[in-house]
Amino acid sequence: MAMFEKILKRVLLAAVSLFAIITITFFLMNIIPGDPFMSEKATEETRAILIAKYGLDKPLIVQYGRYLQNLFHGDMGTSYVLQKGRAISTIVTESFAVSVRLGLKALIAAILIGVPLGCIAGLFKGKAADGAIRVISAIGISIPGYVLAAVLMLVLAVNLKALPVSYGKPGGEVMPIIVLAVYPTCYLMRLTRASILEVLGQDYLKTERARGMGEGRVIFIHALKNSLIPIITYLGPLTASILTGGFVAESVFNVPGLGRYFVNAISARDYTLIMGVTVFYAALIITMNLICDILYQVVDPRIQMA
Amino acid sequence: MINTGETTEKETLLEVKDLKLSFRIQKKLVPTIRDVSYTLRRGEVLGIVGESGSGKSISSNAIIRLLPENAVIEGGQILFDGQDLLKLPLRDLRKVRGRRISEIFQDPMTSLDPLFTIGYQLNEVLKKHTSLSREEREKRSIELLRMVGINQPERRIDQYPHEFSGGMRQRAMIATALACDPELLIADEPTTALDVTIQAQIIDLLKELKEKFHTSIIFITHDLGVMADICDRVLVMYAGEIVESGDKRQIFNNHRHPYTEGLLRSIPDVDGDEKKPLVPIEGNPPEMSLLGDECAFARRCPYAMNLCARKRPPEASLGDGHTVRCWKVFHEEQAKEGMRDADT
Repeated sequence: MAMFEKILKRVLLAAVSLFAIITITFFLMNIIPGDPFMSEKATEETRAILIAKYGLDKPLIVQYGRYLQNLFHGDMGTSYVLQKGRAISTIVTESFAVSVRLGLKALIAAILIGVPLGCIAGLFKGKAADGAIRVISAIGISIPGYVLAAVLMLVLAVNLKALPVSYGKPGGEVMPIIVLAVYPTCYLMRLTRASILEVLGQDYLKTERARGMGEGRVIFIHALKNSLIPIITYLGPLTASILTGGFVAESVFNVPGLGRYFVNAISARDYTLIMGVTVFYAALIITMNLICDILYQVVDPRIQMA
Repeated sequence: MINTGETTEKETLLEVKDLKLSFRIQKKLVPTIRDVSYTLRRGEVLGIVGESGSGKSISSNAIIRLLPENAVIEGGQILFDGQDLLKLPLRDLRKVRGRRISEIFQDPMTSLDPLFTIGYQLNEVLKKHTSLSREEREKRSIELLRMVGINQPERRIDQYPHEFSGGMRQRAMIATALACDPELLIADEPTTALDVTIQAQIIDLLKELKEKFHTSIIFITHDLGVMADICDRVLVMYAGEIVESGDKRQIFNNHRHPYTEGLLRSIPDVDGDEKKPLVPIEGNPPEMSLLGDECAFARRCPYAMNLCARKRPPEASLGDGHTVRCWKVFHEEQAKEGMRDADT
């Protein structure tokens, strides 16, 4: 019961954060010079008609109020530019589905590879395996996504012809998944390594050994569970960002996912789409963080949700 | 494995012989435990006293080889019930740890895994070392918590360490250590991190358990008051060696080593003469890596002679199990013997 109340409290707080994000984004977006119709090959007259049609001639505060009102009724409006006339909710759900398909695979790969390798590095600190893993993770973290994407494309698709260049063909998913997964995998390696190293020096592991517990139990039950806490912290925002798609991976490989719209919507001044993508992304991150907070409690009884 | 009491009173349980242990620090071996020998009888409480870094914890943890990775045991024997634990493969040693030899630690705040309930941790030990069924283990766990003085054990068993106070955690720790009726309990400064009132409670608990189960205890502390309270025999350690050992009476009333003397003069005496000043031991313990063939205490010793800086004193036996490692005492004893020889 107490748990339920706490969750409820967090949901209310989340709504406040979301409202703040909407407000800030709305006004920031309007500060950018230009309007959605500046690229239209139209006369000043038609542009004025379009602007009036979408209510963009009204005072900003009125526009803001109207947006909130519509949003509250579940109406995020229609796209002005990129997919003119289509409902934002449809665009977001459709492209999000694509991003999730890629993102989930990348996320699972990152966890399944990053966490065990990080453990190995931590357990064999100073040995060859640790050195190799640290070098790999340093490279993976510092290499920019667009460089990686270009190199993969050149080597795997152009030179070796092992994979198709664009997303639509069979096997087309592989390269975007790699690009999405490399950074979180390497980051998880480092995080797990650091976390497990810290736990390995703790007194309670000595206690477990003094009780006659074998190394397997000491490491995999006691040390690992204790080192999971910082990893869970990272997994929340990671999940949100990876599920919404990387801008780079989706742009380079022409994946029709949500990530592409982050960038494109802004450069096109597609106001409703900018808002829609931001609101969705913010809500997703907030939800993921909430799930993490609940997960924490499951793992660590000392943590009390605020 | 339950001790039957009186019949085993005088039997030797543990015999440590010439234990030598070093730490590998930057490829150099730094001697840390130097020729430590002692015996512990069943049902006896052996106190090991010394300042930080004197090797008291390391020498005791060496018994169950619970040592830092860079520790190297260079020689000696640790005979537990006749079996050399140093020769025992780790796999077999794990059957001794927690079952026949248990250990409790200094800081109950950090020595219990925070993510597992007290009940889980008790069950873990019982499962590892006994063939009890699940229900029996649960019953035994509750019984153990009650035995160490934890109220409402049925409720407490499902709580996490952070829900216990410091003293209660140490009690829970003792419960897990006693779960399998160990023959030897190593208590590594079990009261240092606790309030004085709680300290006294824990000491009383250990004394009570010793009476009840006849467990031998190695009690490590730097608190001589606590030592006087609980121990039968005392080892005084300094710079990795035993400088004086004897029964409680010998150490407190009839000590011979200048270091022991210094230690005893540096504890405040509440009941005694208020004007008696506290006398600290001047200087610091030696750097172990720089220690050669000399008396480790020579630089701080008010009685130091030329010989002390040149040669390490041998362990002299004064009879009745009282030993001292000091040139001054060695010469005094020789002189006495000489006089006795002249008499006859």
